[in-house]
Amino acid sequence: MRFHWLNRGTLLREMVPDFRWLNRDLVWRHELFSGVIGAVLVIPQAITFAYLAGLPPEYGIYSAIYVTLFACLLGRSSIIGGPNTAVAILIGETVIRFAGRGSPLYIDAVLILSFEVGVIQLLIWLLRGGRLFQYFSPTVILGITTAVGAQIIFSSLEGLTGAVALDAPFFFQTFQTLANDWGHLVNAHAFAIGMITVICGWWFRIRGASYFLLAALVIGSLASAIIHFVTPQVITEVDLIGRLPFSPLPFSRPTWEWDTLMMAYEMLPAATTIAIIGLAQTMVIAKEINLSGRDRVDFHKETFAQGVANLLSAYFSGFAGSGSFNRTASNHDLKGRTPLPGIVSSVVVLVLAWNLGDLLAHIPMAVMAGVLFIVGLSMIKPAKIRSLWLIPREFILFLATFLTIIFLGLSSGVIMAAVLSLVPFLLGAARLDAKRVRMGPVVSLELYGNLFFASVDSLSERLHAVADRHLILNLRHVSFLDHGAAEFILQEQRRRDNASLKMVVFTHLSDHQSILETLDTNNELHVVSSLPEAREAMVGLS
Amino acid sequence: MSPDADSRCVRDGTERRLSGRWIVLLSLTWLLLAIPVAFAEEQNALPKQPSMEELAARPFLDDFHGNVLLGYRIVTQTERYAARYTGNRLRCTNCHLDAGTRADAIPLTIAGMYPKWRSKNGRRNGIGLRIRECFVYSQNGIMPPENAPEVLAVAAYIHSLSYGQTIGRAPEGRGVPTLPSTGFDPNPAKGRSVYQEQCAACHGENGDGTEAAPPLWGPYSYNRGAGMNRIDKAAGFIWANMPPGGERSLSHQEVLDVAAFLKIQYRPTDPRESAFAQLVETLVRLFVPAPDAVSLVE
Ligand code: HEC
Ligand code: HEC
Repeated sequence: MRFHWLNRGTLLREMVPDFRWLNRDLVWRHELFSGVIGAVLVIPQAITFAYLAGLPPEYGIYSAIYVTLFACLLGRSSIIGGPNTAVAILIGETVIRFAGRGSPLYIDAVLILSFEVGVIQLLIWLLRGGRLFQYFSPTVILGITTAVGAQIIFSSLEGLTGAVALDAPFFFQTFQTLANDWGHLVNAHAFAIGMITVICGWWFRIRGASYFLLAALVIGSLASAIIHFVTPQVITEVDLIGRLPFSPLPFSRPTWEWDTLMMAYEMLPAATTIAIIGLAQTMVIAKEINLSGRDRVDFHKETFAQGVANLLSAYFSGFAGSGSFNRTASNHDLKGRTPLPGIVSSVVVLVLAWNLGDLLAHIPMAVMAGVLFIVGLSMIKPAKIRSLWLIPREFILFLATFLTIIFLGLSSGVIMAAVLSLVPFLLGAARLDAKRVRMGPVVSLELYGNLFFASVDSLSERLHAVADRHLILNLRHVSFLDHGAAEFILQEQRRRDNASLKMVVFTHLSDHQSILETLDTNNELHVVSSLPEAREAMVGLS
Repeated sequence: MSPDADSRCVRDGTERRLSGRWIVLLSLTWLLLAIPVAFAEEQNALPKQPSMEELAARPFLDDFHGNVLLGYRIVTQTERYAARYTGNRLRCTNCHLDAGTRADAIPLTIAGMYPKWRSKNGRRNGIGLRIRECFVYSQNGIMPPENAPEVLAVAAYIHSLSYGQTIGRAPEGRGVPTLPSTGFDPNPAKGRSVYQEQCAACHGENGDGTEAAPPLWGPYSYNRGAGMNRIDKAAGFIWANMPPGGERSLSHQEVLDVAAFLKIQYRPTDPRESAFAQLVETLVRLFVPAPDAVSLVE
């Protein structure tokens, strides 16, 4: 194998921030405006995603500042990164096994996990894995987003009803608990505020307003202000966000000790899943941008930027994130075309969080839960699901992904989804077709498909059918040849040599030739690179 | 020794010498028996709890001890570690002296007294509610949710402080001492002069606190709903703990007077009072003339 892609120049170019977009004819007005709107959009998301990850709200804000900043400084595209739903849910799911939500150990574990995610993403970058994610099938991605939407809705129920400790391992238990004891559990004031938020937000969304989350936030907070003007919070017991202990440079450091290393080790599989899910989302966005022709996103550069941003989040009191669908879409709507909006947005978030702390303090968690509910609801796209319904195979894929995530959790679901995406592909790839041409005593076998471990069996069947003939094995239409298949061909040559039958392998691809050559240490194989040569080798046979 | 044995000793010298030997022998056996018993007792004694300094120095803390340490930090540096729910310049340790370990200064060694029934909501409430209430009233802050990490951390700290206490038995010096009735009403006017003589040096002429001591009234002190706003509690606290170094030097009447003086000062309103009701009250006041004299003393 040659690592022709591991070129030091390329790697260096991907590592160094590239500000050439500054020279492009960028419309400053659009870029700056888009950045400001991005900041306003990200604040409610940052706080709710921190809640999903089981962290105090300021951690979400710090992620919205620093993860976004680093990702945009190192990247070169208009993708806006930062805190992300699926990643936040995965973090919560992973870390809750080690400590109680928000406790010091919990926060330490989140920092360690984010660090790991960054490292794994950098490894994926080194191994040039950025392109791999193009193979996540759209059906499966729809299954993931739908299930994440449903999960977000379940996790918003606690805040929406003002009930405490509603979290149950299974979503239906949450419903059951609520149904059995709603009189005790539901805080009527919180519920009213939550419902006002959801209904107003949804109304704005249907009207097509891109600021619907912000509208929901403002209206919900106003409703709460009115309710609390009449009945004080001490009596309603509606949870408020509380003052954010905000500091502009929130340095932190994961603890590296024997015990935390054990934790880090146990979290590795989850970290890998998170790294993959995070990159997959960034890459799906990148693919969309490339398809739209707006820009050319360099997958590898974005992978590197994402990895570094997540790694550094552990040192800035943040948690790992990824590219964000909704904020990138809003950025494009507002004609942002460079990384500048992301950078502006993180600066604006910093300024806002620093100065609006007291205003944010009085936003109820019920409003945040309402925002979360809307986010979840808008991730479920009935029209797309209905269109899948017509293709049974795809629909089963979708349903399997969805149900796995709902019942077994996001991390198992994602692994399931990755396998499921590959199954139809693998089945297709293992198919081998052959055209047999007889030329007197010689048979020419022209193969179509891929030659690899899964298709060797089918190859041996075809060869068996012409076992007593001289053979030209035509690999011209074989695009992929792996080591196992090459070895099989070598054995076939030996067998035929022993039976005094001639065999010639014809391939003009240098990749195939080099694989065959490296294997063939005793020069037994007869490989030719053109058809006339092959015919020549067969001249004079009877 | 029984009186009977005593008389025998006096009567007969040999017996006295013998008994002397007996004493030596007995005390030896006592020693031999006592040493292992003492060791056994040592082993039965509760193992020492790690101190906060020890915890802080440890590189890794499990979930419980991590929470204990965070709880300790919240109690001693409330504005830094529980900024989310704090609204004034006080720290828990300003009233719960020595980080909640001093008797007669509302010690926090009371985990064994909870959960307890409260008429307020007709339910048994855990230590959590009591902690949340001190956030709302004493810290003039926001009511934290039951499962807020800050509340859980302080609860863990209180549990570790209460180590070795008997469950259900109030610890020595719980709360503040109850002062006996002096027979005189507390007089805020006299309290003012006591304050100026005894307290102003540390707590400031305007009660807004100095480098040396926290504020006693004003916008950055506890609010009207706080336990410290009750004359009996404040008097008990001040008598037993103030001024530092001269505890219990003031007379009961003096502390009652100064407590009454503190009570009539401006401080944040009781958060249970509705802003709406207050607005209505002010509006009514605008149109309806107030009654002439309002007595300052209850
Ligand atoms: C302004 C003084 C003050 C401050 C500051 C204060 N408290 Fe208190 N605390 C009191 C008083 C007064 C009582 C009630 C004593 C009583 O009812 O006997 C009390 C009672 C308590 C109790 C119950 C004690 C018992 O014996 O049952 C707990 C627990 C408690 N506080 C926790 C806290 C915590 C935690 C903080 C910091 C967030 C705090 N307090 C801050 C004054 C204060
Ligand atoms: C030597 C300085 C000093 C003097 C004099 C003093 N105090 Fe204090 N006081 C303190 C300090 C320091 C604290 C906080 C204790 C701590 O954090 O350990 C405190 C705390 C208090 C508190 C509880 C916290 C708060 O702010 O509500 C009250 C009430 C109080 N003092 C009342 C008084 C009264 C009344 C007097 C006069 C009789 C007085 N003090 C005299 C230093 C002083």
